[in-house]
Amino acid sequence: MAHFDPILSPPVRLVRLTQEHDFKPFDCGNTDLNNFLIEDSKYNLKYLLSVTYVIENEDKTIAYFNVANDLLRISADSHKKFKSILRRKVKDKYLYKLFNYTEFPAVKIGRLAVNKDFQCRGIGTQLIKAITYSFINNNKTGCVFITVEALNNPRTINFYEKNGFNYLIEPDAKKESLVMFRCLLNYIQYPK
Amino acid sequence: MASNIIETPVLTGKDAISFLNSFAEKVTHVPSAKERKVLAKELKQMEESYKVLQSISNGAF
Repeated sequence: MAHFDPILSPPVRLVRLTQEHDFKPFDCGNTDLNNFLIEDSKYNLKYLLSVTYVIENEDKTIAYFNVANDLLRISADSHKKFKSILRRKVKDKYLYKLFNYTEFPAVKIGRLAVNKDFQCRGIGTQLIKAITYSFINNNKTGCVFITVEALNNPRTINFYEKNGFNYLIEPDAKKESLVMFRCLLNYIQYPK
Repeated sequence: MASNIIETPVLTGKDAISFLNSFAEKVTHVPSAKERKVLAKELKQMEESYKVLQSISNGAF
């Protein structure tokens, strides 16, 4: 049995953000992540860009995460160039069908943040696990990958790497955030 | 206003090859009995985390 922080039990609640939601105080230590929740999450909801889930108790917002549909796309040129190599690598015709696609459905964790008062307790990891499971077993469309916009600092990158994410493109130290991804096919049974 | 959520880039060149390579390895790799156990354990932990969130979500998650 995994260890769960008892904080994630009633009366703490997880709510799907609505326009009427009254935010409780939140500070994760990063202004942009704080601002997203308070200033942008309802805008994104209104225009169907993304959905935010909030975990809160009576006094504070404990954590939040935001998810949106995403697409992993490979340029037609690169796909064409690599196809002959792929054909040699993936001999099984059934599996090879996957590589006829140049686009793969994904879900993006746009923002995920934990209140400073509740950090270093495994809540972020637990959220990642729950989100991943929901898209493996309870997905209403299709989703092969989870992508995430990770702040480009060692702590955040290390957190996502520990949770099974890899760089999607070569890391660039100049960028404020990086896109990382995780494949969900590890966890399904597929014909070999 | 916070910064926009960045778009996932279209993969080209080395990035596309590296991605397709790792994807091909993933789908063709036949896990050993030991690896299967690890994956099953990870999946179980994910399921438990999912159930924890469900238990406090009143159907919202």
